[in-house]
Amino acid sequence: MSRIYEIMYLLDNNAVRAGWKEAKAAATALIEKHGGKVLSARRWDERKLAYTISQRRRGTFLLAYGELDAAGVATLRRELDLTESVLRYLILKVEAVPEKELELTRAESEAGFVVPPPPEDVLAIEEDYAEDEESETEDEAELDESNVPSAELAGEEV
Amino acid sequence: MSMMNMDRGDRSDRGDRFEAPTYEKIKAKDEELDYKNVELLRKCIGGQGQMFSRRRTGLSAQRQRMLKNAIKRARHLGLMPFVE
Repeated sequence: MSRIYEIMYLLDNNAVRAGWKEAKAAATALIEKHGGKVLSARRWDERKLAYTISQRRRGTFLLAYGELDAAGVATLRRELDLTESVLRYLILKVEAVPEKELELTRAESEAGFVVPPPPEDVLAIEEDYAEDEESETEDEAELDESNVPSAELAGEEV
Repeated sequence: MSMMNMDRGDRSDRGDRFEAPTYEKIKAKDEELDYKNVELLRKCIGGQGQMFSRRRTGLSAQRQRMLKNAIKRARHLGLMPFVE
């Protein structure tokens, strides 16, 4: 018996920048690969993440609805865990696909619809290094300053 | 809290009585408590990202549970912070 599931993907912006259609096709193809039927799929949003995931600060969300059976969901989960372009995913059981979603999906598949490319994401690793370097130089400067008054005090005492 | 007790001079020997603080309730009566509704969920967490209790949100037990699940789902997807 198959059910309808809501599947939210968090996609790597690097994969999305290479082409939204390709990224979306790759994500939805996984549903079909595991014996499912894609009912709707659309770009939900591109936004800043609340915390870094795999050194990414931003990500694109893809909201899909599909019909799958229980065994299909289990194998889909396993494959999503191994797919590197999918940073996170969430699979929920739903009664039916909301009307609004079908409309929005239709709007996205229309010819005139342009998906805005995601902004450049600075890798968290690089930024962390930059911050470390800055803080180190600051620390050194502070040390120098703190040494001076103590030396003066020592001089006064003698 | 203590000011009020001080006004009632005859009760001062009873010590500080507990008075529940009053909060502005979250207005989420007709809204869907869904992980995608991040704007609403943001109102239900504190400065450090902790969920508000039922006393603060003013939700029913059932709705509070829905809120809990929604926040936890949003956190998993990076839509909401675990700690801030």
